[in-house]
Amino acid sequence: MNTSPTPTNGKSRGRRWFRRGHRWVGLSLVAFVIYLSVSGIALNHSGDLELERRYLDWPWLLDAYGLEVPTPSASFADSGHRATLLGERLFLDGRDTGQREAALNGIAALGPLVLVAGKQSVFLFTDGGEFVEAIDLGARLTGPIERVGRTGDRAVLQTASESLQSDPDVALFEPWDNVSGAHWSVSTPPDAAEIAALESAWRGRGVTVERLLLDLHSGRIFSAAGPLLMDLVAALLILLSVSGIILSRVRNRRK
Amino acid sequence: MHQRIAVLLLFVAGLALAGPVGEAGRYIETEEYLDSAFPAGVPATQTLWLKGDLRADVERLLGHRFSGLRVRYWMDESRSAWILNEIGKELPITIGVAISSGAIASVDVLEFRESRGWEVRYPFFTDQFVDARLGPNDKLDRRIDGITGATMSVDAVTRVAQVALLLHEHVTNAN
Repeated sequence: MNTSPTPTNGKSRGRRWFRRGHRWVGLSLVAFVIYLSVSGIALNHSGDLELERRYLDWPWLLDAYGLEVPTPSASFADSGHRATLLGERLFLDGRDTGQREAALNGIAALGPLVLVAGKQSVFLFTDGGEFVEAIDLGARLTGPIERVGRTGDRAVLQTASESLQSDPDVALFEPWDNVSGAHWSVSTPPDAAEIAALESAWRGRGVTVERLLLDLHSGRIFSAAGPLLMDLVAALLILLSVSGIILSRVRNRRK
Repeated sequence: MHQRIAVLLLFVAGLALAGPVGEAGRYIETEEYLDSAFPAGVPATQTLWLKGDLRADVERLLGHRFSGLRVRYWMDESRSAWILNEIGKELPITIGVAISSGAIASVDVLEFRESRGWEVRYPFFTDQFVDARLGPNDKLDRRIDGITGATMSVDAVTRVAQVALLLHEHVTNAN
């Protein structure tokens, strides 16, 4: 008895495998199609949904992104207020001020206002921590700010070659020579509770929803293998389209 | 033939090394800007607290919350100068607006921090603001032509021009 498949049987078996393959590849890609479509639609409307302004603070996600909180490079306290520089981000009383500065040289609590000094700029906040103004003193100063202090309700700044005192509104700075009468700001490390609050504040703005969606869509969220997986999914989708057309033509021919 | 190829390669290398014609950076220092805005002598710095209705008006023109409670300005008898920051796409553009008798005398981009849109610094764009005043609904009384590829920067400069005119009007009326 001849058990070898006839050409007709072989063809029909091949078609059956082709159909099965098409079906199983299609089913296995359903989740990816939904995943890519939903993330794509969200990214298309990123502006309307303000995804670039929404931040995620899930610890596991931030760990996955490797967002390590830098060690405070400088921290100063005065009259219950503390200014700390993490990286180039300036924090006041444990909150991100939204201001960037390369160096932090002191803080002076002046009643209703709090002055924080960087290298060539000073930042003013209300006693409640609301940002008032950034004053660029770059052209006014003969060198970078080295010390910050207060005398009465006025702020004082010192560079290597001069000292300046503010007016009561902390709007203008004029030369000043009574350096010994000032209370100068001294760097002190934040305690454990303050560091925990700073880390929480720093990480809280770590990842925007838009960035997460972009990384999910491209596969970059899964490190180096992610983009390769997405490439494979894309290739399978192309194959699926082609096999779908072929199957459709075969079915039409039969009819 | 070899000479032509060499010249072509030199030309391409020159283009690559030359970089873009204009780019982000600090173009004018504050003191330099104020000297040009007040040739007869820079008046003393003044500050204006943005509170209540004035703050609401400023934020309406900007279309977002104003960062900061106080702005500084310089004013002599009828001329004022304002240095304001406004975000184009992600980073602030520092813009100086000089106003004389209720109309814009000049608009200058002092610092541009983003990689695109720096064309707003050029006079072909900023000169459009000269003599502009506030019209109905605190909009400029003229149309400002945009720049392809710099729409957000153009909008930011236009918003700052409107805010500066509004603030000038406020301090003039207060005086």
